[in-house]
Amino acid sequence: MTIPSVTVIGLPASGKTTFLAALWHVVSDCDPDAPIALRLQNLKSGDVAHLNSIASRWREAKEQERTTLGGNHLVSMNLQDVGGNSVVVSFPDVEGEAYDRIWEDRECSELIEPFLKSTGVILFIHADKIVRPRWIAEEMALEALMNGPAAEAEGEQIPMPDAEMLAPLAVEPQNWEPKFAPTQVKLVDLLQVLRRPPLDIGPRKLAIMLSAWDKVEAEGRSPDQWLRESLPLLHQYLHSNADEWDIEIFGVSAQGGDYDSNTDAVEPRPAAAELRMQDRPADRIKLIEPTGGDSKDITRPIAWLMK
Amino acid sequence: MTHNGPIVLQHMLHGYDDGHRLLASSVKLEQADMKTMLRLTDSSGPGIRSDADSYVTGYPLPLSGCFALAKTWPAPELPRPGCVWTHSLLIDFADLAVIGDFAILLESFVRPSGEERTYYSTPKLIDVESLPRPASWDPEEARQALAALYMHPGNRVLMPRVDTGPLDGLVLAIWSQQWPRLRRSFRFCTNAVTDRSGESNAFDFQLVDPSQGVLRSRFPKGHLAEEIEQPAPVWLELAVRDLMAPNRDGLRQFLRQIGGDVQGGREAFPYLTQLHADLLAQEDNFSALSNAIDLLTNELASVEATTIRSNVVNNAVHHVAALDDAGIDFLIIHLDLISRPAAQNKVLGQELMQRAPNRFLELLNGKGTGRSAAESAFSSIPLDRALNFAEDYPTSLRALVQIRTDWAESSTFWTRKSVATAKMLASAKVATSDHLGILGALLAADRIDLVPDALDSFGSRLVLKAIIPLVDKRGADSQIKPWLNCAVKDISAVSETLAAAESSVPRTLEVIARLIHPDDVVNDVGEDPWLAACRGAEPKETDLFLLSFLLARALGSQSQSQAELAVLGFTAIHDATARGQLRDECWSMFATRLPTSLFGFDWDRCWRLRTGLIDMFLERRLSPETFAFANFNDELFFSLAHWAKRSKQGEDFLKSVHEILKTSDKIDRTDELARILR
Repeated sequence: MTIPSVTVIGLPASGKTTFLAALWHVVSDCDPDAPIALRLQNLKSGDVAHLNSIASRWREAKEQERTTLGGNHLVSMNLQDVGGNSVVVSFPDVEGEAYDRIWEDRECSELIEPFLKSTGVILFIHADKIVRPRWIAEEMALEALMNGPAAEAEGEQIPMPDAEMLAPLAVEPQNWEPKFAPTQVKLVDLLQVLRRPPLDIGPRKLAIMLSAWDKVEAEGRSPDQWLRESLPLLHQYLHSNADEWDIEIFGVSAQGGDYDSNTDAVEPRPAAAELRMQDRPADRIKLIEPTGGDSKDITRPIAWLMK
Repeated sequence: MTHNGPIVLQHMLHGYDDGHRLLASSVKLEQADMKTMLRLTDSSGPGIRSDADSYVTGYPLPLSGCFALAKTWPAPELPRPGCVWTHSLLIDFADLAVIGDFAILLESFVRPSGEERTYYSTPKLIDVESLPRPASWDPEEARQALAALYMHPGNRVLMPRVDTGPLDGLVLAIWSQQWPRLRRSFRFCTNAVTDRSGESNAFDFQLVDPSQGVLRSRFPKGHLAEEIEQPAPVWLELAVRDLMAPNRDGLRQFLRQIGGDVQGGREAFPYLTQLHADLLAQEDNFSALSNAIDLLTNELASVEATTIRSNVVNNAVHHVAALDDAGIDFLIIHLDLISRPAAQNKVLGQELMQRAPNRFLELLNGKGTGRSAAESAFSSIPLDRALNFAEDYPTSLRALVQIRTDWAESSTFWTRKSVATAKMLASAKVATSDHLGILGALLAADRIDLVPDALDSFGSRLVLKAIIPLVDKRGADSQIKPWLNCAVKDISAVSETLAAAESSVPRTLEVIARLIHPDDVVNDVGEDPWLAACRGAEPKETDLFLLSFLLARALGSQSQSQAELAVLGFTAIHDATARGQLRDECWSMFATRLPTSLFGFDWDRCWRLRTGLIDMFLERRLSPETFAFANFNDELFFSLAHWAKRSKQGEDFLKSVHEILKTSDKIDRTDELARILR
């Protein structure tokens, strides 16, 4: 019987490294009472020193440095539930540029291709760094207002610009590049690619992880609601289910708040200091389940995928 | 290294924009190279935070035919930690060869500020200096780096990056020192947090911060440059000196000149540098010369470098005797590079004959310059030595025959029966036109076994011509007799020899006369060859055998000079007969040709002689003049006259003689003859 496999993917700065650091801390921690569904069985591949390093930074509430393109950062670990069932969790090419290459260059790195055929996929989306679609008319109106006559007193409705106002603002046309595409467009395309040859293995499970959930939690929406309103194209794609994804949508805050910057010139943040004062770093984790409940167990999406 | 024109540099800028990506470029490259650049323009690892951490990376982009020299700065102004800017200069491979000091390119790096990108979107022309700049780094660090790179060419070399600047300069200086082909493949980074090597593209040289964790885990295949044990190898010291004062000993120029032929990479550097050191020292140092030969034969065998090989060869030829076998082989292989082949090849060939005869034979039987060298040597040594060689190595005989012309006329050669066989006679005839000389050598070598073959080859006439002077000199001794016995069987040759009157000694004619019959030599027309021979040899009255032989011939029927031959020695024979001193072997030659007496006077040999002579003159109507002027004494003359008067024919003959005598200096005989005629 084959062991189920889960691959963690996501665009750059989508929170994969932070999740990995938190996951490593949690599954490698020797606390038998920790409320987690899965524990570490063994590390299949990956630099233990690197994992310990990022876990250490996570515990110290310091920002992770972006993962560079150089070097081999493939991490793959066997996790096991209380019933002894195992799952392989892989983080291929932890930097997200490889997934950018799939969208922009229509190329898939040979290094990550085997992992994209796993039985389960976790797709990370940074809830606070969405590139939204931009309407040309809205943009030009905003530009005109910023550079046109001074606004009237507070409360006055700003009129839409007319041609006379827009005329002096004619700008040099810029060639469109794939990198300018909105986030949801890239993500839908990525998921569609996974359901086409040569990466397609048939219907499979997909866990959407909306990272940095603490940034949008105050909006009071569930992960599914947030997805529908912020990434409607993606939401429509998933729920129309043309590609037969079996999905669940989670919100996750692996940091629990703002961390200190790497740059010495930036002042330490009070929120980071508060986080460091917690007895158990794992307590800063917050997972919002699809049902609306929350949990400290960062492994639950993985556990769902392995069922 | 000089270059008088600017070169074109293409530019690229990479940085973070929703992921690390290409932001601006003046050129489009192959896709695979773009991927390589995307990886290598990103940060070398976590911890690159301040400008002091900025670094330079160099690596080839083979598909696009250029080399990327890039500078990377941290970009703390960007929101994501770990972002960097990288400005890359793309140098065409061809231009790599013309740049003397790559440090000059550092001035071309520009850190981006703001959104301005057009600077990186246009190629730039830059002038490159012709001379490298003086060094600013520690020689010991240079020594460690060079040793690590070139003594362990397969290693990914690491060096601690303690102070920025000088070591960055050292890396670029090492790169600048290399020959163009090696430059093209050299990968380096002056601040590597993790190993920058790809699966198939190992980085040669990386400066690392040893304080950042365990090096082994970050660079599992890396090797730290270590201190070198003293004394350091000669090549290493030369390379360090060159780094400190570029091209002071001509090393850079040498590497540039020869590097193009080198197939290998870093592993070739010590050998090339050592070769340069040896070439500098070879004039006064034989060990250096041997070293140079060894390098060019083994580690640098694939390096064509004709000029350098010629340099070594033309030095080595002056030390042929001291060279070992490998050195000799080296010379042989490069014979065509010897500048004064006529003189040098001879020396080499002689040395080779002595030390490596089989090798010499290969050259001798080969073609081209090698054969010329061997032939030159073979033709210059004493014949004895050449013959000794030919005896030891019979396959060289053909060459000896073809190369030397002195062997055929040398009795020394013909005494060597193992090589001087009958078959060599034909070659001897071709080798020299002096066939008499060959025969002389054969005679001197006492090669009587070759007499029949020599006669076949040269002919009896030539053999006789060769023999006659020897017989004249020393008679027909045991050495000459076999030749003579065979040669005289060719009567026509004997006839020609006699007619040529080559002998001046009657004894020689007697030797011949003893070997043939008086009637053997044919004389159908003209003067009798025997008579001609006698004119040269002038037989005396004591040469009774010869005179008897000639009388017998005269009394026979083969000669056209019967009268002259008859009277030539008649007086001597008659007198000897009268005294009873004519040997039987002489008398028997002509006795049967003399008339016999009806009246029992056969016992009177003198009577038979006189009668025979007169009958010959009268019956054959021979010349009265010859009779008149024959060297008869008076008594014999008048005795002959009395006998002739007995017949009418004789009387008429005498009257003719009388008439002839009246007008000569023998007028005193006319009165007595007139009285006899009355």
